[in-house]
Amino acid sequence: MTVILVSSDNQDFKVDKEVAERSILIKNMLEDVGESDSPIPLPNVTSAVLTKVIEYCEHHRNDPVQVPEETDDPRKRSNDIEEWDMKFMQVDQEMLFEIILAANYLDIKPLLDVGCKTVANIIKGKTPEEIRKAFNIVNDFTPEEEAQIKKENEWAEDR
Amino acid sequence: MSTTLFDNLPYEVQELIGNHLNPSELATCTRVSQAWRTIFDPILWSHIDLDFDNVVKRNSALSGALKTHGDNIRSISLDCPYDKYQNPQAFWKHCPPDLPLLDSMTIIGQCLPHWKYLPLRCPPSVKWKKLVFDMNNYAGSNSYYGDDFFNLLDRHAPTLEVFRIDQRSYASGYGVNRLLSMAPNLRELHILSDRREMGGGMLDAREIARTDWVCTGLEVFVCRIGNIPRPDITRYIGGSLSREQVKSGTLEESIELQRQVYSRLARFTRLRELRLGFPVNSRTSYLKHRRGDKEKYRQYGCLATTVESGLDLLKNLKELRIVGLQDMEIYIDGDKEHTWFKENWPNATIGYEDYQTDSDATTVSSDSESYDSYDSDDDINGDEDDEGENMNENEQ
Repeated sequence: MTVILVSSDNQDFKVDKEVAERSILIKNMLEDVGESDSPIPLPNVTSAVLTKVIEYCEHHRNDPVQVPEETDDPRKRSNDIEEWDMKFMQVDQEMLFEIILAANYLDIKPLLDVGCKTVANIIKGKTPEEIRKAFNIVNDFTPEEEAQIKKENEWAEDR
Repeated sequence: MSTTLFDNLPYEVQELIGNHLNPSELATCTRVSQAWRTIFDPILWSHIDLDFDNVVKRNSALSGALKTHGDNIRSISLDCPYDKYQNPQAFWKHCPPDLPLLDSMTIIGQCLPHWKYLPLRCPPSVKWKKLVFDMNNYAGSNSYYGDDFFNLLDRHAPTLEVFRIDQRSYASGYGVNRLLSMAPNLRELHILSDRREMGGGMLDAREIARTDWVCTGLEVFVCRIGNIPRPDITRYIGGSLSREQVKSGTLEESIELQRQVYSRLARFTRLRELRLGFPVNSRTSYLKHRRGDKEKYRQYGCLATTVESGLDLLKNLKELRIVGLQDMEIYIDGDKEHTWFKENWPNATIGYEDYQTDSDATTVSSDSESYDSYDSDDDINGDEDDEGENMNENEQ
């Protein structure tokens, strides 16, 4: 069985129901509507992004439903990304954020998780200046402010 | 361009990204820009890992920040000094009176025993879910978790989920039993006390039989249970029958009491980890692994964990992954119990040592390995460790 997804720029995407249902949002919509052939509009997702999202869902169509890891301290979670996902996420930064936003909107937890890990990995190991460069951010601190924050949060260094 | 794509992400997504960063990386993020500071300060300050001296004596910026971020703090890990001139309560003076999310605290460091009261003298609005004491005291300054401690803990019993006491301590078995009967949400109990000459950290089987445990969702039970008559013990140590170490009673009384204990434990159907006995490590523990001391501090009045003693009552603990029976006088007589373990706890790793070979160093080392989660940097050959000399006076 297939469903038709419509991107914000009015392109139709015909996908297997099983693939579309990787999105919890779409899964719930289909359950609410019941048997129906009417296309599903996704006004928040462009065709470029939807193409990528569908590629991800196709690849992971047979994955078991993810059981979220329950740990007290979220920082103990691993940052490992499997190889296919890593390659999949090799896109420019704008697309990376667009995918994350789409995964958040469509409620595709594993994709959201991979996206967040990818961003975290860009941040890791960088100085504040290098992070500004990587994300095109302007430093709006005075040197005094920056020194004050460094002192407040000093306890976290080397932890 | 002052706004970036990152800044436009919804906060819950930014938070998810922050969850993949360690404290040091989060601290770096707070120095990127005003917007990033607003995003990452609350994430960084949700789990804080502080040094008492730093807060109280040295860093006024930190102490100011503690007040500012009080709304974000969920858990505190506090490294406490060995300093008799410091009042532990001074820590709370640096915190705001209202800490709406705080529910977890870990006390670490080689501090003096009375520091264990620090979390219990918290602001009145705080209700603990998780308390961990990893004080690792010097020999001679062991913590006694007595009735006064457990009286103060009563206020937190309704919310408490995880409670852990380190090895170099003695805990009142009465207090622990009371906690089990008062804390309906308890999921993990770790009483690692090894000061057994005071009956430290050992639940009294007769008290267990008299009380009702309410924590039916318990997943981890790490605590000794003693005071069971064991007329079945037939082994001699140093010329005397080791049965003399336990309360006297008939075999029928022994089995009856053991069955009552098993039936209490059997209610913990979600139990993943059950440790009734555990090897004591010479480096992190007050006890030494010398043969005489080991025999002396062995558990004798413990559950026999045999099919005859009522082990079958525990057959519904299907979630069990780890079972620790080390250092107990158990008469697992080979096939019968081993078959039972395989059939009923197929996913559990059973740790025990055979009493006949416990003078053998290899037994000690395999025990230490199976206990890695508690003693990561242990030194299994540390027999000549010079800590705790005063324990040797009775060495044979």
